[in-house]
Amino acid sequence: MSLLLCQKDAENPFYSETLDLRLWSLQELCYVIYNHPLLALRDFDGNELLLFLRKELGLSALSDRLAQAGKGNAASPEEAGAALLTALLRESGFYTPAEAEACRSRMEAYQNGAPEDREHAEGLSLFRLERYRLSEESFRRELAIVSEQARRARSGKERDALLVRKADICCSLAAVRVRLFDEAGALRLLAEADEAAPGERAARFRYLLGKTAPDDGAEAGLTDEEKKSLSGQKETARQQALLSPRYREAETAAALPQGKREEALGAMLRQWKKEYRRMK
Amino acid sequence: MATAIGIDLCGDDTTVHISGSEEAFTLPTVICRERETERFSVGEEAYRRTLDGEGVLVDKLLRLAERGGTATIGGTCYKAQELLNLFLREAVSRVLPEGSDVSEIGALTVSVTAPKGGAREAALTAARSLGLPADRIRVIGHTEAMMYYILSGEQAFYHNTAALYHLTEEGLFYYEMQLLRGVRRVSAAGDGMALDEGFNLDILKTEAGRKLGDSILVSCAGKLMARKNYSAVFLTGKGFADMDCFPQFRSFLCRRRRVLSETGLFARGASAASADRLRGKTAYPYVFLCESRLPADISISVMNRKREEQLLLAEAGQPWEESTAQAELLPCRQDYIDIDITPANRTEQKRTVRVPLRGFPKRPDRCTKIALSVSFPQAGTLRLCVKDRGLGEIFPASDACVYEEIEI
Repeated sequence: MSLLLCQKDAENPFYSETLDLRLWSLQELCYVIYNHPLLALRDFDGNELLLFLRKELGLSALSDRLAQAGKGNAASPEEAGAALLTALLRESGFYTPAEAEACRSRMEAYQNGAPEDREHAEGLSLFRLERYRLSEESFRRELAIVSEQARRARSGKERDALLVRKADICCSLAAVRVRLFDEAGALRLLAEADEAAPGERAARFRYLLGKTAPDDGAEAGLTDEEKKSLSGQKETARQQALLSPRYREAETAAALPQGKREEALGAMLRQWKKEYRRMK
Repeated sequence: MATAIGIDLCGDDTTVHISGSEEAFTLPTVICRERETERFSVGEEAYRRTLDGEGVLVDKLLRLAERGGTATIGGTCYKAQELLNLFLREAVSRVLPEGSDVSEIGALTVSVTAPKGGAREAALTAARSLGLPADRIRVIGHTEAMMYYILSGEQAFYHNTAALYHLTEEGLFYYEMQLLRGVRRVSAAGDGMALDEGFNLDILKTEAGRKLGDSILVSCAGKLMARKNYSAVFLTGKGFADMDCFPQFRSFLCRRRRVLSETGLFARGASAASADRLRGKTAYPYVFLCESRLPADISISVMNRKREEQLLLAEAGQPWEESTAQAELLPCRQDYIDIDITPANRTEQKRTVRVPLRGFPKRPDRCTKIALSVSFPQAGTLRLCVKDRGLGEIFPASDACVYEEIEI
């Protein structure tokens, strides 16, 4: 337990395009690196980062030490980037050495993993950060790799497994579309998923979207019991949504006096539109 | 060269002293407005005009301003503060060298009997009305002015305890000062009090009254100065203008110590304080401990880049009204702040006050930056304000705030 002394914020922030965040202080940088190591690794340019530390935060000595750590014994630019970010976490004092080490392990696992797994992890991280356009891009890249692998599969078993994965990716893409209220797009992706490998996930998804009718045959594969269970899940999700920070944010904004209400709701809407317009 | 001025603003008389000059200029704290025109005069001239029937006199200016009072002259209602402002401007202009104006004052220190509440505010407002920047003005108490006066003199005066008696129309006051050498930093501790035995100076006009006054002073001195070793005793105020009135008191004081009588002692002390502020380095390297200074160090324990250290928010001996501090902190696995209060004197123990961060949004650990600010609304009271700063755009700041006032 302690109080960590913060330095004064930068006058010009460090912009993370992936996260669409302006970072004003060392603590914010460390938070992003620790909580989103994959994205930090992809997004942060080492030289820009060192320049930001030196020029904007006045941490020349730290910047020099990090530059040395980054050069170290790294075999590739990616490894050098990971070393630099871990060193920053360790040197900043905002995270313990054990936490910095854990972060480094996550980065290493990511770097040593297969390209499609990296894309998948990135897509998920971006989805959780509500960066839907970039999330979709990652899932699309994953889809392309997996489709190509399925095409070249040597055995039927291997191909089936890859098609199941492809269907799963399509479901993830549908989830992105749903978040942007593009239900038609989501349904198209669910049809693609069914085409690759009909599975429970797509069926459940479609049912939860409420786009099925008892006579359209879309409920194929769902028993009455499953449907009942899904209805329960839908209700639970609805209840959870009412407690979500985003919903509360909207509720709080709606309760503001007129001028401020428009401003707050406008900001939320602009953020959503920004993501939506960038979608292909 | 910038001028350093000290003013002793009292209910009956006001004394103005320019640092470096021999004489201190004293005038009654009164103002007179002519009946027909809006012309004002102050001090003795105000009395003269009033006696001549030319104007209307307003006295007890400081007390009136302190209470936010008014005075109606010639059908015009004046706020007492306005009259005090006029009085102070006139008093200052009388001591300034010919050809120089108020803007040349580099530091102005006003001493009042007790530097708190309305008296302090009234004196500060009057000083600010001169048009000087706020950082050139200070209001101090008589205790601090006495300390500056004594410390600016010979070291032999304050080798042991130094005492001061102040006898005026407003009462009898006793002050003491001593250096505390066995502490972390050498401190000068001063204290003062109004004595219940104060008497009206009119009694000194008769032989019997003088004897009574003398015996009162001897009795007070006997009680106050027993069992202590004094290097020097100072006497000031209108009551001690003629020491022949108090033969027994004089002989009591003049035992193995120096006794000095001084006019305008507080104004001289205040001007010494002003002069010190104009210096690059203080001539008084002591921690001042008195009513207008902080009695303790205020600090918090923080981690600064992996090193634990004590962050000093306010230092003992600094003027409380000028002592403010801000810091930004990130609580790590804790939802409170521990404030350490370390008294400068030896008699009290260090203590820690815990301030819980109630009403702050629930966020992951190390994601709630707080802006801590410290100020002192009055002597002996620490005001703490802790605001939620969130964590940049990741966790936007909320309106959550904690206010706490702590007795030091």
